[in-house]
Amino acid sequence: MNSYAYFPGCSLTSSAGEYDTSFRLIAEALGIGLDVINDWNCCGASPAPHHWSGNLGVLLPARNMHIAGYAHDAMVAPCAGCYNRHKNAQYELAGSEELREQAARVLREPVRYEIEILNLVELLVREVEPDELASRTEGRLEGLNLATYYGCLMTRPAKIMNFDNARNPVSMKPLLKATGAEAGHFPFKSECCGSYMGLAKKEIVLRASRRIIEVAEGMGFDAIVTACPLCHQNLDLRQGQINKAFGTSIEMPILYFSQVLGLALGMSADDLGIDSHMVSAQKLLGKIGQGDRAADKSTEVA
Amino acid sequence: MFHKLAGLPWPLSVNQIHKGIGDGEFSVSLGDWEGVPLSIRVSASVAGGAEVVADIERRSGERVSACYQCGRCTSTCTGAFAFDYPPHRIMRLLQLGQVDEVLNSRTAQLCFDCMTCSTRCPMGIDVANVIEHAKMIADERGIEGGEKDIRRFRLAFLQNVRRHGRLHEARLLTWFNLSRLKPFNDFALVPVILRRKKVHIVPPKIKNREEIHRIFREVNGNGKSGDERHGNEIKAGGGAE
Amino acid sequence: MRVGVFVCQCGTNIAATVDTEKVVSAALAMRDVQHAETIQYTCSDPGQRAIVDAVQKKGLTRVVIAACSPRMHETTFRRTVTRAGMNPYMMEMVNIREHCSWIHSDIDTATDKAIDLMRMGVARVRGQAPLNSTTVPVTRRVLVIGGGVAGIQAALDIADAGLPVTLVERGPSIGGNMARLDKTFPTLDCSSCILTPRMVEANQHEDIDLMVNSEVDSVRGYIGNFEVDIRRKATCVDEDKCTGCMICQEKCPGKAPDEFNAGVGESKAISIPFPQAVPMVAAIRKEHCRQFIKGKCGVCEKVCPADAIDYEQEDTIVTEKFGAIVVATGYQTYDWREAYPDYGGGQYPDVITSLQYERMLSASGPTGGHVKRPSDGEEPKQVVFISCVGSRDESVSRPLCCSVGCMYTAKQAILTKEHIPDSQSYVFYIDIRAGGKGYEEFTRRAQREFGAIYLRGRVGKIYPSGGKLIVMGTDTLSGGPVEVEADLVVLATGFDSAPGAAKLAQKLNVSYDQYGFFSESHPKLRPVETTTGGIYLAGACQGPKDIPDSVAQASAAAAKVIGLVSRGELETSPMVAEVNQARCTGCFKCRDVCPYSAIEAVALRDGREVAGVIDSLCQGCGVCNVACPPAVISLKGYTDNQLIAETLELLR
Repeated sequence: MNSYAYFPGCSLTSSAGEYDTSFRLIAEALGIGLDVINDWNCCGASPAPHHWSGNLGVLLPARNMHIAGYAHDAMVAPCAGCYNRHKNAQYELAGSEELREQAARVLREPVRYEIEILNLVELLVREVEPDELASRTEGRLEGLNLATYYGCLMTRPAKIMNFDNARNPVSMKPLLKATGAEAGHFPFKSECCGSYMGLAKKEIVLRASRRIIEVAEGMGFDAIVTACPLCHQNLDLRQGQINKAFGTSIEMPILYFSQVLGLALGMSADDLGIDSHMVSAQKLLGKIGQGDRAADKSTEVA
Repeated sequence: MFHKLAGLPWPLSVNQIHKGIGDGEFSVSLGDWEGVPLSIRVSASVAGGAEVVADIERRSGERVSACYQCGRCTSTCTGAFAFDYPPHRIMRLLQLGQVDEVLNSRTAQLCFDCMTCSTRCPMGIDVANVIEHAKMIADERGIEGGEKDIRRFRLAFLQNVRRHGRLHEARLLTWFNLSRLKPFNDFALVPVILRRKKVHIVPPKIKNREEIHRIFREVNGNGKSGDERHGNEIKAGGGAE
Repeated sequence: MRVGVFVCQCGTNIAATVDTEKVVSAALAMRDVQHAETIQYTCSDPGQRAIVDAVQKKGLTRVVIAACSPRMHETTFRRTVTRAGMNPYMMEMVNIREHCSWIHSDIDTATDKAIDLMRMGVARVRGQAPLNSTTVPVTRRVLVIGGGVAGIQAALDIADAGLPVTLVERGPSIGGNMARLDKTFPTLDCSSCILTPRMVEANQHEDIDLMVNSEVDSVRGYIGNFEVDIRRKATCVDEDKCTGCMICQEKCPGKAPDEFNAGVGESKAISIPFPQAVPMVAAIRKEHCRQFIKGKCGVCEKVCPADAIDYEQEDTIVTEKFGAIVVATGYQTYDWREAYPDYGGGQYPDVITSLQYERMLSASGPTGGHVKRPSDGEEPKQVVFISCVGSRDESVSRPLCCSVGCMYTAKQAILTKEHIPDSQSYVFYIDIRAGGKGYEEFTRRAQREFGAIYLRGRVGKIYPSGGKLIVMGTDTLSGGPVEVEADLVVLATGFDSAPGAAKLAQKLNVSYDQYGFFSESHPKLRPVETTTGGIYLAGACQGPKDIPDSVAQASAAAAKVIGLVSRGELETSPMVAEVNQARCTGCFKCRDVCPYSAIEAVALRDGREVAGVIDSLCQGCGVCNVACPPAVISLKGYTDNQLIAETLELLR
């Protein structure tokens, strides 16, 4: 069994708890070992790397990589933002002795920063063979057409992330298809959801996210699959706000990649935390035989 | 001699006409157009902005001159509708040395680095990186701009992290809304969020907060940002503690 | 011996960096140099006259000219000394321009180097013997590879001059890409109408031997004397019997992709590509034919009224000799699907290429000239054209401009309006390249008379919405992003070299660039020649270009060929190898290594067999000289003694 250092990040330990739960469940089922990084800190997300914070954006992730590197060769960060920040920090540390010295000053020892950093999709693609998954999932998700949504931070900037193809990401497809689902061409698969502008400039999120869910619905997808908690928040939590702002009535469930694989492996929607989403996945669950559930938490418009 | 309309010697000087005719009788106000040139003296602006553009190119590693203004960066720019200058115009302004326009633009403040432009550029220019560096230089020069909410958000986020080592979302939301005097922003989401246990009231706290404080001190102390004031704002918590 | 040295100044090209007077002085200090002077422009009339005067007045027997590269003026000066009464090969040209003044900046060191080069030239010319060139007969037949408009034009021009031509075409019909066009810019002439008369003429010309379904297998030989193996592919149809009635195609049950129509519509395993094909002969594509895949069918054989089907037919190789070769293999359009996922990558049926659209517009095409949306067959009202797909784009490794995209897009916008009067066309462009005669006016017409809206900017994404396509682009002129709701999107794809171009170039020993376009010998002054003598280029195989340029190049290549072949013989360089037969040991290592098969066994009077050089075949490469163990082969003009003298002079 392969074991990875696990960096949940701030989102997975609060508002995106179901991403963490579902990930742990499928990791166990698939035989992937996860060891939470001891006393991990916030990666700094988007505010830290910006201009006037100096090297905050490098030092915060450096601490995590340093701690993780003590006992592991590879770490996984399911949050695309955390993944992006750690990889960027690693890239910068590799290229600047000054930065490494600064990190050493803080950590009081030379910084260990060369640990391999994986995102959730990358980890699962590495650990799971599509054929193996197909036989375990027995085509449970047949009949579903899922829009794969990668967002920005998993693949960009291409030369630093070095994962999948930034212009045309396809890494989610093989595993999704192995579950029996269709993963058709979704033209907005790597468009931005509006990022962290939700609080400071909501209009940006509403407009950007609207287009993504509207086109997905128009093309007949059953759900959008994502691997980023901020994208999930913008697309799911704010779906009601989007409908209100634009007078639309879009109902597009947003599921985490880990939740989709969980469903395919036969786990219940409740266990996977799908009921904690704003937009109900009832219709989709009905298609795969999980329709009759006691608690029907329909979409709430906020 | 100069006052007569007929038989005036050429060339005339405006000053002399004014003096001759009498102050106050014939004064011209330029109003809104004070200081606005009839057209851009490109040669002067290219020469004047050359250092800043060269700085951006050197620090970012991108070639501004390679842009042939195809506009593809703008076509799918997520924030274009909110910017004053979409990405292709920022590149053009830099090519023409119009650095003040760029540094003071809303684009430089609002761009959130989704990098969609960079992925689409046929010349392989990382446009987002160029705008990011313009943003950095603007800040080094203390250009604040009108997007105060974004700045507030960043500050609130970072002092939150400094305090706990991890983000306490409930606190961030509350503090941020209060700081904008919009306490009920997104309020309707609150009951939903609480019911679905999406947010913890009790703040997370890591054990080795001292190491986090060292990180923040290290950043404030080395002056790399070039602006001590912001560093101190984070340390002091901007009054949010 | 009396040596004359002439140092050219070439205006300031040489004189600015080399002190020619010093070179003259150094020359005069050498033994045997009776005359030395510096001339401002040696190649000019007065310059040449000065040489002739000096030779005649001072009785010079050898001449050294220190000037530009021999590639520029060696021929000129050989003629000059011939006029002065000398043997042309007693003149040695030393390069003090490209090899000296143009690459150095310090006058002192450059002058020293020029003096060294001059001294080496004198040392070499001392050992020179008079040489006489011979002639070699030139095969009076020309090969044209490629039956598009350029190949046809070249073949007709050469054949009209009375020289026999073999025209080899890979496909089942000649006509190339021009035959796939509906109308041509800027006159809107019907493409087939102007091309088919030429096609027919090429097929019927008594001096043109047309071979379709054929490819060049291998090429041997050299200028004036090529030997080429041509593979005539098995089409399972006897071309002498086939009448072109097309009943076989009608009845054939085997569907096959329609390559001529760029994938619009379907074809059959046995087919004639288009109604005006020349020759009008069917061909079977075995990879789609049930008779060959499954082993049974035979429908075409049964229904053919002319009994022309022969499943046993095999490829044959025909070997022919040619004096010159014209390469006119044309181009193919860029396949955009992999590199442009933002435009759907081929998944949206209503996003098509310009060539597919052209086939739709054509009255003899698969839709009978009716423009229809591939998705639902409806007539589109809003048509969007996107320029530069696979052109001017470094990120997909195609930075080049296809040079015809702006023009053919304007043409298609005009034709759209003619076909569908209530349609509206939008053209996304970056620049308009319309340099030819009447081209600028044509693009203006598209906008003014035919109402096409031109938006300056590239398109970032196309996505489907409610049965239509939303095109997300930019209009940099009005300053921001724009969206167009389109019924049909046409991509103006760029040009790539024809499939297999690089391989053919290797067979011909011709250079090619990173796109597979063949390299001309000089971009300005030798657009139709290659670095391999006797092989010429015509048309888009040399680089993307329009029809007038292709035709002009074809005629230019023809003129070169006629010049080469019509005289019947070719003067060969006398700088060939020579065997000292008295000392040859008869090991024949030289014959083993000679790339031109120019060494034969010669019997001496005492019965010993030694090596003998066939002057007319020898190209003076010198490989035998190196291979010979007792060193008894020397190269005339480059004898060992000459080379040693040069080296010693330099080392002095």
